[in-house]
Amino acid sequence: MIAVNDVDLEITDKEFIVLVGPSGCGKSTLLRCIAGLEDITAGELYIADRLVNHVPPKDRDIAMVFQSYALYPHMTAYRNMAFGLENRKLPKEEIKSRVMEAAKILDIESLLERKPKAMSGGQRQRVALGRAMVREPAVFLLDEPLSNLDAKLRTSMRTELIKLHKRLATTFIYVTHDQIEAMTMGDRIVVMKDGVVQQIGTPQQLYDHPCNRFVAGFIGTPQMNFLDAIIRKDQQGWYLELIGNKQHSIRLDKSLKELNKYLDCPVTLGIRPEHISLVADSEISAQVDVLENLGSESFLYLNCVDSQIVVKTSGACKVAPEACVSLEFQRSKIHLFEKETETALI
Amino acid sequence: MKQKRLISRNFITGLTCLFAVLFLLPTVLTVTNSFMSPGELAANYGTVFEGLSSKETYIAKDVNLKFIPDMVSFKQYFTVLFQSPDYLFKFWNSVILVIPIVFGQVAMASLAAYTFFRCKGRSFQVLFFVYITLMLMPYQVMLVPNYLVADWTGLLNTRWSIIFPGIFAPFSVFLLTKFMRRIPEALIEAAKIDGANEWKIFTRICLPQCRSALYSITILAFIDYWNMVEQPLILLSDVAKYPLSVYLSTINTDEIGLAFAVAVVYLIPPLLLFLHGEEYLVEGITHSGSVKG
Repeated sequence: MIAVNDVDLEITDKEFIVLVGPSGCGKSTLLRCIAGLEDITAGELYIADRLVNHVPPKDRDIAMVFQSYALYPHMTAYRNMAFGLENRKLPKEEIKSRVMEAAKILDIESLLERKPKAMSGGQRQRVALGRAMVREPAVFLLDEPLSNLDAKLRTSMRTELIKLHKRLATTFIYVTHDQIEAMTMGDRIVVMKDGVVQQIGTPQQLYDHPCNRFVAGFIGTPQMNFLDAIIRKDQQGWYLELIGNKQHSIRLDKSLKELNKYLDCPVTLGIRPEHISLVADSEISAQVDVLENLGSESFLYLNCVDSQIVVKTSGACKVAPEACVSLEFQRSKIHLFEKETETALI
Repeated sequence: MKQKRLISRNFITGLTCLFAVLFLLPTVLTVTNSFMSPGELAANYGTVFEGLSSKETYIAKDVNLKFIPDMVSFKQYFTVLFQSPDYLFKFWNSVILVIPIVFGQVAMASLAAYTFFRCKGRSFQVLFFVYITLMLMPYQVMLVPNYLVADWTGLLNTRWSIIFPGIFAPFSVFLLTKFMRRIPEALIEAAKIDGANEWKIFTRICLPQCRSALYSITILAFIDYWNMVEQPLILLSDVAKYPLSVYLSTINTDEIGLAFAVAVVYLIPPLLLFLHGEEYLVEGITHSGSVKG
């Protein structure tokens, strides 16, 4: 079995790139291949124009932050950070200055004499980052570094990491299964599934133009709604007929010449929750199942044409459970996916 | 109901106290009697101490077990430590046998365990299984092969005939391997990225984290070989090379007056070692998920 297959990826200098995907998709393996902790069976890996396939991890000019932080439990924070520099036989003064500088940036100066067991999760995470920073590497590899933190700390550390990236101006390769982290932190995102790269692009590109149904469903919270439909055409133009109820049809305002071959074929319609609005009257009706009010926004879970869809509305929504509502889909935001291959049609 | 439970608890406490006292009696007897004067010992133990020929019965019929000396005397200790060169000589014999074994065993077991920890190939798994099989064999089974090998290598009647087999101890390897396998792989990978070579990973990352297991095998090996009797008796023909453990049985029959004092002094090194590393011993054995059989 191949863990990561046929990856063709070029990361530019000082870029913050995020590898994202569900558990077991191969994102951590890809990171470990870059780090030199896993062997590459085929292909070439270059770091700054240097082929590093057979270069040991220590000589790749990389530093890695592990999910578990991997701090040496018997060493103090200072010794943890200095260990790599000692191995490179740097002068003591330089080691000290680098460690102190990193500690200052990360605000962990007071923790330097503590051992990992005497630190909180967030503090350990900072020390792990510090250990990577002092090496002044060409590439930072971060393997789900925030996943062991609580939700509040994760949010603040996310911002800290973005700032740190700007400050250090170094390439960051960041692995996460959390698409919110990916969207908020990455200059570009690599979405992976089953060891294969699905799409590479900026967060906005992935959000607006997902290349397939998997990417469309993975990026965005709540995830994109999917409905089965058939592409039809009449004198007025193209429209989608929702399977399950012929009364429900959605006009398309796009030029769909390339879709001629899909005429009368079943497709998957994709529409994000924020691109559906409640209207007084429309062809599409649904019944309210659950209402989630988050204060600033509300999520309506509706039963529509044998499927459950989510609608995002702003502010407090005052819709009664089991009430019937009429929906309007923003035509320009509709995505269509081929039924068999699940690739995007528009 | 509450009263019944209280009675039951008191009964169990009483019973365990009784057992504790029974188990402690020989030790207490040894320690307290070591502070008795030869005269007092003779008074309590009859004629066994004075004018006793080797052919006579060891324990007299009118033995009186006495725990508290009438007057504390250090005569036995003085005799053992300052007037009996034999004792110090045998003590030294024990030390020069046990110390190399313990250090050698810890070093060898650490290296072997690290190999089993890092090398995950099938051949290493088979080898580890062989180690465990060897561990299940009692030492007595290996005595004859050990004797033959020692004879063949010309080591018979030298201390090396005991030291070499002692260094290669499967139990220590097993315990340390189990302990090392608890070290997260991420730590080793982090060390690799930090530029540590295999030796540094072993000495700077692995060993410090196996401190409790290392203490455990040190204490267990020390106690094991400090108390050895069969190995010297079989592999050493020269009585002058016998360690204290063998000598102790001799003075028990010849000079019982000194036996208590020697026994107490004999207890001190393992006791100190045990007290020093007691916490680590428990932690080491518990975390490696093994108990010495």
